Amino acid sequence: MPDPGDGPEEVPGGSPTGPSLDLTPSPSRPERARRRPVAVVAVVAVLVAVVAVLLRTLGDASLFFYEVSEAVERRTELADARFRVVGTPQPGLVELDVDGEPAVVFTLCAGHVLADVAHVGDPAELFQPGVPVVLQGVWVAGPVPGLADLDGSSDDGWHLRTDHMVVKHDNDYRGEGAELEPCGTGVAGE
Amino acid sequence: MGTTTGTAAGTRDTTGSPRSRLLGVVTLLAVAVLGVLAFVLTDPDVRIHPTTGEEFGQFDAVRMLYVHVPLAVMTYLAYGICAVASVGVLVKRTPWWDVTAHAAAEVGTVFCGLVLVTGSIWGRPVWNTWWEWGDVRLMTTLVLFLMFTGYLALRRTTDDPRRQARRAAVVALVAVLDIPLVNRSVEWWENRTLHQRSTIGELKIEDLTLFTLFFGFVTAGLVLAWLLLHRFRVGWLEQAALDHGVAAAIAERHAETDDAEVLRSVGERAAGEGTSGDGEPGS
Amino acid sequence: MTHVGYLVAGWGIVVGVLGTYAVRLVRRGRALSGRVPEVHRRWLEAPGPAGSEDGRASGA
Repeated sequence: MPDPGDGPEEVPGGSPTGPSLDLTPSPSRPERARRRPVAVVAVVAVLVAVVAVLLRTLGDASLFFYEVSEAVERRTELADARFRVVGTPQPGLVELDVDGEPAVVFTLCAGHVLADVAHVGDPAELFQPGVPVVLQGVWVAGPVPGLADLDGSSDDGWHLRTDHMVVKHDNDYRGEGAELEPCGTGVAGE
Repeated sequence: MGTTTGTAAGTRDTTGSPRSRLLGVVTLLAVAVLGVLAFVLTDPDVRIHPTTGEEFGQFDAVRMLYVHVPLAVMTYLAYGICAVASVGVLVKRTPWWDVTAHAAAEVGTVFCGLVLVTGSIWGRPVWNTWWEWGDVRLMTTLVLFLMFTGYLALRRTTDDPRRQARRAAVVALVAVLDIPLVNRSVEWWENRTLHQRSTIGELKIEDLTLFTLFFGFVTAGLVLAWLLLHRFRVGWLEQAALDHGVAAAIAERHAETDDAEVLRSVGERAAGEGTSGDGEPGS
Repeated sequence: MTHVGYLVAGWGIVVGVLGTYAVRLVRRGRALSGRVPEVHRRWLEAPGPAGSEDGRASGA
């Protein structure tokens, strides 16, 4: 398939001595442009990819995440559905085994609302108290394992059992002048 | 190498000019200075938590932002140039606008791809994930990249340069509408996106860190300018080579036609004179 | 220094991709320049970056 950019190498066809000599300077300016199948397939593939990305983003409600207060408020509605929740881990992490797997237990906070969390699996590399995280998991009825060792827990008869953690980093690069949102005054979620 | 009338073929058969060479040297120097600023002179992002007293932050991963953020801003600029040039294509219908739009789209797509890659590499240690499907900033950026990839693919679907230019211009003008979504997504979908809000807009950066980021913008701008300039000239030469080839082909055909007519007339004259066909033409 | 591998990969990919792209552009430009008369390469003489908007009559 000739590239228009390679035009000079293209010489219109036809016998040089034949009576029906074609002087039309095709193929660079054809009356009816030729389609290139590979490029058409590429365009279709890109369109499919765009639609797939949009569907993936918009179609899955669990991709959006709740504040701790929202998650607590909608606990009944969420039932055993998986969802994402954002909040700030409180100081006082407890490492133990939950259902035979290594886990870290802590209290998540947003504003004045708290929720206890048992995160199963390795936490994020930069996970630490005071740095907001987004967790994915479900509500579980019953107190969180290791509750007795947890300072300032919500202790409301429920806890979050999560297995996916990402750190929600802030946008502050001012070193010592950095401001952190106040969190956790010990008021548990209802 | 081809036709060259200059004294030194190596210096004249290029897309370079004295000014673009100077731009190239300045750009390389800027890249080197940015490297020193980013890796030697600036500190890692380490802060002391006011409550826990522990160190937190991005640590040395922050050095990725000195290239990631400037590339993102220059992606907007390149696609913006493409959009303006696309309007020119539809209004003025001259190749200059089309070559400009094509160049800006291609360079912008290279930049956009690098934004996605550097963001992903930064996200692994800082966020704990290579990619978040739910993040609006990431998704809108990916869609932007895909749409301009489609723009470049669309240009290859036909041999007709006029159709190529018009169709691509329309796609560019649609695709560029995604840029405000990309840029504002972290504000419009706050608490629904993992990506942090704007740092510069909220003045949460200062001193050498701010200067290095600013210098990153300058450097990425220089790289963009150099690439755009040379990609434009390549596109310009492609068009010129196409037209030059067409003109050469027409001239060649005319010459061949003249030869054929001479041969035919000679043959007819020879037949009329009753000679055997192997006589010398023009004898 | 922390996260050295990520930094090397990220910066390395950026420099590598942009450098490779720049070299390809230069080579493509050289190949095309040899096939086009100098009259089409205004940057060889003119101060302007790449010719005028109205510099061509055909095409798109």
